[in-house]
Amino acid sequence: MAQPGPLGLVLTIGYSLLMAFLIAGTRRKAKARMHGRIGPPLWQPLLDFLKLLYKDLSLPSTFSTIFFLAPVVGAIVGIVASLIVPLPGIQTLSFSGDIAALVILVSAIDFMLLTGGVSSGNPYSWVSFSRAAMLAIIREVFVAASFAALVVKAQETSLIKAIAAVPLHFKASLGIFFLVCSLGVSLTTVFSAPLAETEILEGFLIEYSGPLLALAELTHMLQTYIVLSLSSTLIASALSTGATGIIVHILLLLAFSLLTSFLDSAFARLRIGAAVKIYALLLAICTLCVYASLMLG
Amino acid sequence: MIREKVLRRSVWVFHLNTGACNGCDIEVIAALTPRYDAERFGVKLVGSPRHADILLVTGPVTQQTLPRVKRIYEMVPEPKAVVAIGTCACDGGVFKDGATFKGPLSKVVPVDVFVYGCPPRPNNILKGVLEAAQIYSTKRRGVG
Repeated sequence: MAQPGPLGLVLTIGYSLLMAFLIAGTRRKAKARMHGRIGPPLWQPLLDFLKLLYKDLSLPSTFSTIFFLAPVVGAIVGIVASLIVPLPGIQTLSFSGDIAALVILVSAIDFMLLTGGVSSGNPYSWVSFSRAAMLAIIREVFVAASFAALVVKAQETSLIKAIAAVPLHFKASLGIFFLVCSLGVSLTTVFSAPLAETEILEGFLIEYSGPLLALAELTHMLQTYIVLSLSSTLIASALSTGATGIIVHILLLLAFSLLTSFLDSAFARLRIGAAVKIYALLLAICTLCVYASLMLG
Repeated sequence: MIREKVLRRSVWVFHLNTGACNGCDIEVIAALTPRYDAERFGVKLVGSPRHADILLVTGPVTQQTLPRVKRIYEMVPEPKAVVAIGTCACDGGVFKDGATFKGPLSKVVPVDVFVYGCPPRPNNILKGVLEAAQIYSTKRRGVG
């Protein structure tokens, strides 16, 4: 399979970063409009990111090398993972076994962010770590099961080839699975127990500051983009959009952001026990739908 | 130019009560509610001083809170600004002659904006935050 050139890779990274910021901006703007406020501009997450880059580092007395390295490695892993995510009508990085690579890279993002936070030694980071790890472990089990269904159905281990080989109903069910998955990844209000600003003060991010906080936030935004983008690509390709695929992809990403904003505004944060149960239940139902699709032929 | 604009349009505030009667705190929270929509100016309340750009301090500095105020001020990364909110933080107010009173906030940390009132109105607090944003956006890295 043809691979993208250096310019293609740079464009894909640029597109991924732009969409990651746009998703976060749309969520904040839409939430403000739902509250009857004007709200921040769409590019507010970009302004916040740049602002943090201009700030000095303020380090805790108990920091370690991992504390420094985690957001940097996390951001690099996020960028590499975003190169593997297929985009309609655009050549992205593809190789045999990239499905497994994507699962590992997305899990590695969680691992880096949480390990970095915990290495600060702050007790709130530990609380956040245990909560985020519970949500992540549950998610990974179902993500692995759904990707296994995709591999079995398509008889392919390359994501682009596998998506092209499966029928429309399978793409749609897998797309919905990743949409539900994104609710936990993006830590929407319902599943925001790991951050819980008013309780554990942003958990694993509490001790980060300046450029390190900027990278940690960027990594999290990229992770959200990757999962939402997978969902959007699957649904866009199920709709057989052809040449207009990338426009449909962007529109779907924005629609998903609006949906998330609505959920943010409509529902309160769940306690971690309830959040884990409901997240597991939603993912189990979606995984069952994926397997039902697999049986349909 | 870009740096100043970026710093002015993204203002994360940390609220610190050094022993206030809670009157100013209610107004600080009121200033951050949807009615005043501080988020349209990029203003966001954060839970950790390490994430903050501007420190909003209410209440007089007391013997108990003095080391905490200094420590939290040091935790806020440069460039940063401090807003003293309410008469107690600005000049001691009714606590001025108290046994444990350790002076107005400006004696402990450098204060950029004073918002007087007992308590001040939320729109005045928001105005103070935006003035502080203007001041801190022109400060250089590593300079207090």
